[in-house]
Parts: sequence; C-alpha cells; structure tokens
Amino acid sequence: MLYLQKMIDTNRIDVSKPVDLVAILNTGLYKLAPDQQQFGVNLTDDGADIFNAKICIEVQWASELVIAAIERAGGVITTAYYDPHSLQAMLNTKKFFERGVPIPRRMIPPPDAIEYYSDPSKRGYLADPEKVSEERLVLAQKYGYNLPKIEDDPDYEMLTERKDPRQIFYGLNPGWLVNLRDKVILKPQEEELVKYYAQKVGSLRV
Amino acid sequence: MIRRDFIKKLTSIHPSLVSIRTRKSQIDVERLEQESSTVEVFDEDAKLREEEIDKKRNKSRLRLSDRNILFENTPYLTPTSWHHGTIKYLRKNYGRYGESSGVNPSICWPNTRNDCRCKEKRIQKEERVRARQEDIVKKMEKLEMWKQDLYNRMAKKESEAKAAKERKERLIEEVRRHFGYTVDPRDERFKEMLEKKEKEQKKAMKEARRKARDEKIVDRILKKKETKKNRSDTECSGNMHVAFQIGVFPMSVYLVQLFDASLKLAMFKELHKELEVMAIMLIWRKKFYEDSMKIQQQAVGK
Repeated sequence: MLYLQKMIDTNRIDVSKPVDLVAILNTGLYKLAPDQQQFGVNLTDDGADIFNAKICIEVQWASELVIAAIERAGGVITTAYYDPHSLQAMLNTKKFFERGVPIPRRMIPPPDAIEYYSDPSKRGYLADPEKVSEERLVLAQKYGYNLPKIEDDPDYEMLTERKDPRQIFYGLNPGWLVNLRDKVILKPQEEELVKYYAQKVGSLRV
Repeated sequence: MIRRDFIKKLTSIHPSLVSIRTRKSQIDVERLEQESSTVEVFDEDAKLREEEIDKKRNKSRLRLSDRNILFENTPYLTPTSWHHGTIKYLRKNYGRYGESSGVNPSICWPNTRNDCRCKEKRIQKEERVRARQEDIVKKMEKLEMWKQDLYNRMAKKESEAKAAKERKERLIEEVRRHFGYTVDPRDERFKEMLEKKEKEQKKAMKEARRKARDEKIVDRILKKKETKKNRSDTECSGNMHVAFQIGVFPMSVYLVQLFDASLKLAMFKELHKELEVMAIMLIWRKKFYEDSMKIQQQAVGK
C-alpha cells in the first residue's frame, strides 16, 4: 500500500480513472511473471495507516485491513481473478494487439480460488453487490471509522465502475479485434462467435 | 532569422497571386471544369513520374522485405515461403500493419465451420480407442488360459529333459556296473555298450507303447462286447466272434515276445538252446489259448 501511495503521489497512476492491473503494469515499476504462477497484485497492509487516496482499485488479493484502509479513504476496492492468458495480454497490451488475435474471454477462477472471489467480505468480483455494501458497513463498524457515502461523491460513477467477469480491459469486450495501426476496432458478425463471446458467468456462479 | 524573413516574403507573395487569378476569372464554371480536367491528366503524369523517381531514390540496395520493415510496411506482399501462408503469420501481419497488409481480418477469429471436421476426427479417435479396449478385454479373458498353457508347456519340456537325462544316467550306471570299474565315458568300449543299451531301451519303450495301445483296444472291444451282449439274443456266435477278435491282437504281442526271445538266443549261438525255445513256444501257445478261454468265459459269465 505504501508503494501504491507513492505511485499515486508521483503521478505514475492516474487516480481520476479506475485503477486495475493494466494501469499498475503500465507504470513499468511493477513486474509480473504469469509463467511463475503469479496471478497479479497482492495489496499488503504496509502503509495502511498513512494511506489516504480516494481510488477505485482492482487487485487480485487483499486482506481485511487493506480493504478497510481503502474504504476509509473513500475509495472502492474489488478483488478479481485473471487467468494466465489474460495476464499475458495485460502485461504488454500493445504487443498483444499486434498479434492480431481478438480479445479473449476471461476465464473463471479455479475451484480453490472461486470461494475467495465469491466472498463479499473479500469484495470478490463474483459476489453479490448488495452483500458487498453490507460488508462495507460491517467493516466500518469493526475498525471504527465513519464510512464515507460514495453516493454523494461527485466521482460516484467512476468509483462504481466495475468490469464484467468476462472482460479483461475497460471499455473493450471479448471478441473485439483492436488494430492500432488503422485505429479501428473490428467486431465479429457471425452468430456463433457473437453468442460465444457474449456468454455470461451468471450460470456458473457458485 | 534571415531565413524566416525570406520565408515570410514567399508566403506573402503567394496569396496575392492567387487572389489576382480569382479576381480575373470571377465565377466561370466552364473554365473551372476545364481546369479540373487538365489538372487530372497532370496528376497521372505526375504520378508516373513520381513512381519512377521513387524507384531511383531507393539506392539502399536493401532487400525489398527489409526495406519494407524499415518503413513499417508489410515485408512480404507476395508470399515467398510456406510460412507466409500460416494463419498465425497472417494474423500478426494484420495486427502490425493493418489493412495495408492485404489480409482479410476475418481469419483472426476462430473458424466455426471447421468444427465438423474436428468432431469427425474426435469421433474416429474415440472409435479406435474403444475397439482396441474391447479387443484387450477379450484377450484378457483368455489370459489365464494362455498362462496355464505356457506353464504346462514349460513344465512338460522340463520334465522331458529331466527324464531323458535320468535315462541316460541310468544307462551309464548300468554300463559301469556291467564293466565293474569306473570307466571313462569317452572310452570306446564304454561307448559301444552305451549304444547297445540305448537300443535296448528304445526297443523296450516301443514294446511298452505297443502293449499299452493293444490293451486300450482290448478294453474298447470288451466294452463293445458288453453292450452287444445286452442287446443280442444269440450268445454262442457272439462269443466266438469276440474270441476271434480277442485272439488276433494279443497274438501279435505274444508273437513279438517269441521273436525277441529267439533273437536273444540266436545272439549266443547255442543249438541246444533252440530246443528250449521250441518248448517255450509251445508253452506260450498254450498260455495264449488258456487266456483266450478265460476271457471267453468272463464274457459269457457277464
């Protein structure tokens, strides 16, 4: 968290937009090796006491204290899972687009991780949003801080922006082909492909 | 500074010239059309000229593909190797160079129509696997039987080898006993005796086999006779018939024995013994007759 605060303070990360793994990787300061069974960012409680940045952040693992620290500062934290193929695409997005491959669907977490990501107390991306808001209140009571009302916040839209469980990049859907040279986005027209890429995770929810 | 002023002068001249021209022509549509048509022709010529000049400009002596890469264009517009036709390469070309690569973007998505072939292949593979597994199951059922067969064969071989060995050893022992002292098996005399003994043994085995065969036949006939007896009414004719049948085969056995005895005697070449042979023959003939009678009586009795 200390590192995150530092990155925010030195303008490495743009706080006016939602912060996800892509944003952290684009700073160039964070190294990730998916082939070594590394699945993303584990936000530690290192600088939790001095953290005071209002951000909408998406990490892969966060402890209770970390969640409390971010929510006390008025931000929103979500834990999300990215499978290794998606991680490779996120590591070097430009290179990925140059491959000429349409954006893949993000896979659901493996059996031993799906429980974590369906847990509202861990702010899992597969959890029920209503339960998540309940847990926010619970946590605020536990740690003894006033939970700021994000509904009144002018950045409410930005803070509550969340990705679809099958989405890898903000604003880009799976199945789309992005071409940086021509600056176009191509979308599939064939029925089967459209159906395949539009499949929701809802049916697989634990 | 000087340059800037110069440039300013140039720019200042141009617009005035332009304005003079427009003032003169006013709004002459026909003239405009003519001008535009002339301008087109001009462009084509200019284009060709430009192309020629471009070709001459390229003094790098680089390979065409390398030059294209340098200018961030598709390196191979015409494919030169099989690799340029692979889907991965074409997708990459589209990703890096966009539309100018001449690649149809639809190849970037997975092919949905090829699923039929994949399915067929999968089905065929499964079929093969299933057939093989069935075959294995069938063979497993016979496995125990084959195992037993193998063991039996092995045991038989072993036993045969053992028996042969034992027989040979016994023969050697016999010959040794015959000589009375330990003779070298490789000695000539030893070998001779060994051969003789082997022959005798063979003969004995043959006779034993023949006897066994004859006894089997006798048993069979007896059984037949019994069944016949149960069915038929006339006894005497049946008995005589059976007796004759019995008589033929055992006779051969007795004859063989006679022959063997005479041979033995002949080896020693003692005339008076021949008389003994005759006596023996008579005795045996009597014995044979008695035996046949016995068998007859037995048959009658049953």
